[in-house]
Amino acid sequence: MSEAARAAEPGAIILESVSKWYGRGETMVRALTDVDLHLGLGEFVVVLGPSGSGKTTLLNVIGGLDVPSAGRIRVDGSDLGSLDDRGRTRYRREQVGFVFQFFNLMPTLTAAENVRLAADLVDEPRDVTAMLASVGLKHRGGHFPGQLSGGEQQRVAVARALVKNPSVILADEPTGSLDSATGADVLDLLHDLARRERRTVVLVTHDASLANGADRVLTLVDGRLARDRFVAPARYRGGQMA
Amino acid sequence: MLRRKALRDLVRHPGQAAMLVVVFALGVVVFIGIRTSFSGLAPAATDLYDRLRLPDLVARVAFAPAAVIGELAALPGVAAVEGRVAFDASALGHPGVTVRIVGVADDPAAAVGRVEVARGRSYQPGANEVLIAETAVAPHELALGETLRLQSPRGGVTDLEIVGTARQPEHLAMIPEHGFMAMPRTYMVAFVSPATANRLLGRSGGVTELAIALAPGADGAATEAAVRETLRRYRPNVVAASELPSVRNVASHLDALRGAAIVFSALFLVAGSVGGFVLLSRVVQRERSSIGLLRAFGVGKARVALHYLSYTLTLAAVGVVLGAPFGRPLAGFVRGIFAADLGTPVIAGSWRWDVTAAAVAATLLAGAVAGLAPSLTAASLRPTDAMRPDAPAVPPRMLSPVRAGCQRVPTGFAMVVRNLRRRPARTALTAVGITFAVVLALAPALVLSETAAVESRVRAVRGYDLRVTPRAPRSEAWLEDLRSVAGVTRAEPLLEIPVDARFGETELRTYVVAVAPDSTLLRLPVPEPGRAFLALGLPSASASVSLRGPLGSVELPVGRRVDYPLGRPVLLSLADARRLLAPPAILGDAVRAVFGFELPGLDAPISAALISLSPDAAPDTADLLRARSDVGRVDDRDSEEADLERIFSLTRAFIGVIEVFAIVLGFAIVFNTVTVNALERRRELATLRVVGFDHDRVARLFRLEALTTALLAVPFALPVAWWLAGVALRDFGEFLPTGIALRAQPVTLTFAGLVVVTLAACTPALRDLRRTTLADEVRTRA
Repeated sequence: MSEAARAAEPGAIILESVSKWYGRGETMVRALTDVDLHLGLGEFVVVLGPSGSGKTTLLNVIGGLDVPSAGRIRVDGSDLGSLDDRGRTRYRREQVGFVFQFFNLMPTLTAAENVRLAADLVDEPRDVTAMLASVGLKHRGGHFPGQLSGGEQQRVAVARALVKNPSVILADEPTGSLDSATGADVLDLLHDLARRERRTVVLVTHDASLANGADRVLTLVDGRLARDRFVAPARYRGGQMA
Repeated sequence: MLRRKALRDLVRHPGQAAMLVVVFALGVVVFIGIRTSFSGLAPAATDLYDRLRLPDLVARVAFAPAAVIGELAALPGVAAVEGRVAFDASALGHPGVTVRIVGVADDPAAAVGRVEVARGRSYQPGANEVLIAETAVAPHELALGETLRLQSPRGGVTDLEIVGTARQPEHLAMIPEHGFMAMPRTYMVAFVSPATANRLLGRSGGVTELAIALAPGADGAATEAAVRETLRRYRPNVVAASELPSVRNVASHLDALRGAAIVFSALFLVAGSVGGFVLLSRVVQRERSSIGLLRAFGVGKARVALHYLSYTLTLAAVGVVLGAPFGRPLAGFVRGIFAADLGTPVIAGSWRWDVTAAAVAATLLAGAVAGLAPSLTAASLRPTDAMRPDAPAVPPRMLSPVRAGCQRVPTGFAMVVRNLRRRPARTALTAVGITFAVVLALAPALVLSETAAVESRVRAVRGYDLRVTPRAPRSEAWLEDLRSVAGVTRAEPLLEIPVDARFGETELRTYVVAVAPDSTLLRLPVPEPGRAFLALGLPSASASVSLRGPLGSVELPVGRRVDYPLGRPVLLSLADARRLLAPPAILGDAVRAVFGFELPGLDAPISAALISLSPDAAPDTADLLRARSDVGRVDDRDSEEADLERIFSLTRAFIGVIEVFAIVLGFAIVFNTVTVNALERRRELATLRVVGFDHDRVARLFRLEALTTALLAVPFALPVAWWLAGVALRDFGEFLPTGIALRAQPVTLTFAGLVVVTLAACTPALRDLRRTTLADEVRTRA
């Protein structure tokens, strides 16, 4: 496939020599250095790396939370770096769903309201109740985050990410605050949705075991893409390869 | 080390810390400044009254023989009596000014009502020399050595040399006998020797005023009754010292000052407390894990509590250090204004360490109160709980109807409402703080609006240009003379008569006003003969009123009540009013029977003429009228309005200062709340941005929340402000018989101001939010 054809591929995310640094002079920290990457629609990508390797920075520049210091990011053919704050907000609103380590639910909204909050942002959202049902929380829609377990809160966060119908889901240590069984459930849910809904999922973690079942595993070391490994498609269930 | 941590934590919130320091500092400044002024002025007035022997009773009579002095002195309970001649005269060259001439002996050892020379020297007995009351000098631009040309009630003109200025305890403030507020532009008091007073009045051998000192332990009520009885044939008006217009005025000013010291400093200290509480609550919330760590290290509860208490105590202490030095200059400033206004001598060097100590203690207490609850909360955290993430708020069960209601409103608005409930104590305290600020702004605005309404009512009633008082009683025929003066377009009769009025069981001294039925110059409803109208503010329970005038009496049924902004008179027809001036028929019959002639009387008497001038009347028309031998005095509307304007302009200036304080206070409270809210919710707001909310939409939600908190104060602020405005204008009851109205304009303007201040206070927090690195915020733990 030619470079132009790959760039125009629906849902494709292309990073070209993306670098990100903070500060300047002697205090400058290079978080990402010359990262080239092509993520196709429907890929389940796990980004591994030790602490400080640039995983979250990579996620942030892909999600439009941060802008690269150098290089280009193209999503659906458009240059993310050329967007202003308003444009990046629209990009996050329409194309990206986030899942965070600490859930980031609005504490004063119920589970259903947290999902509806995101649904109200787009023209054609998915049904809130159906989304809650798809994450197994149909009966917990009226509960506040404080009344839900960690796993349930993260499921609400996943439902919130998906209700907007985004083309890409970015998950930053989504199991980091959960026990292993609950974490496995959430991961299972993400795999299931990625397969069923054909969404690109980029999952950042320092836990190498979460790479099981991924379509692709990226390894970052000192801000550089040290390894890009494609894995044969496999069915993933309960944290184990089937 | 913990101390260093506390200081650094405060520096992390520079805006809020600075705002709270300013609020605490203002509390200290106001407390020290006003309280020190009051502490200096109140004893100054008391000392002055003691030193100059303020009489316990003052009796005013028509003209009584000097022998009554001895009669009164012989009464049980009376320690000393001073008889004087006192009367009103006109000051030529000072249009519209009434001069109260008081003839008193220059006796430094006088037992009652001494005169104290403030500047210059005293008068020589019998010489044409005069001492001007100290507070009357500036408004009339008088100077020592100048001549005051007086026209006495009998018409004679005398030049008196101003040889000094003086204080006299009954006349510190320039208030006419029946007045209730100082009118220094149209009224002044001057002291002359008794011989000079007699000469000016044209009578001798009697007194018109008696100042009475009671013996220690005397029964005041019984002695007053005995004085009345002794003077009964001279129709006395006996007034206790506390009811003398000047004494009442001084007392009400001092009361206002004392109230202001308490109210203003309390407002600032409460605002500081509320702000400190909100700030420290936020710090404790944010530092849960650090607290858990400290406790896990073995730091005791008391030390944790003291550590966090030191935050608000530090802010209060810095406020004290910055504010206290300004207390003394403010005290001097306030004392100077009041001393000049009241005529009370300023006590030099009246710096009060006890007041300063009390201010410092009150401010530190406010700081401690602010920090108490959050500090105890911090100390009571268990290490294991503290190091876990804070459980998100779950709405209290009692608020379930609100919760149900929220499910039917847009999600954003539900979030706003629930955020207010999330920290109910903080929301409530913030609303209380904003209530303070709104009350502080609205109460003066209501006062201002009421004064404007009074002015407008006065203008609506008063249609005349001049009010001309004849030198001697005149009949209505005199109006024809006045109509012939060039420039006069209309002249109407006015009859004002002092009366004792009885409304059922209530008896009071007031006056009757009567004008022609077709009067256009005093626009009042005029009752038909045989009926009385009562001004609002007079007792309303009785169906009839009994009036006792100088010669006659009438009893009339009460008709309607009338809004009369210039006082509280009884309105009668001219015919009924004139019955009060007619001698009893039995006396006329007796004279006719014994002497064979009719009692001399005045046909259709009037007490003054109301004049309107043509637009092209010569500017000196008033002076032409004053120059007439039959005219006693001419009051022009401009002078009267200038006095009224002076009173209201002082009120407006005072209100302007209060409004500035209110805006600062309101801004400080709202700013503090909004900033803390933004800090607490930075992660949530960043998440909204990440999810796809644009900044404007987040800002709208944020502003809506701030506005909702601010508007929570409205239901509380309205009645409190209304009540406070009523209290503030209590001394102006003569003008406000129906009390304070809750007018739409000041209410609307105040709440519009609240909205503006709230939105302005949101700006720094929202600017900060815009600069927030979203990626960093969303990764933080709740």
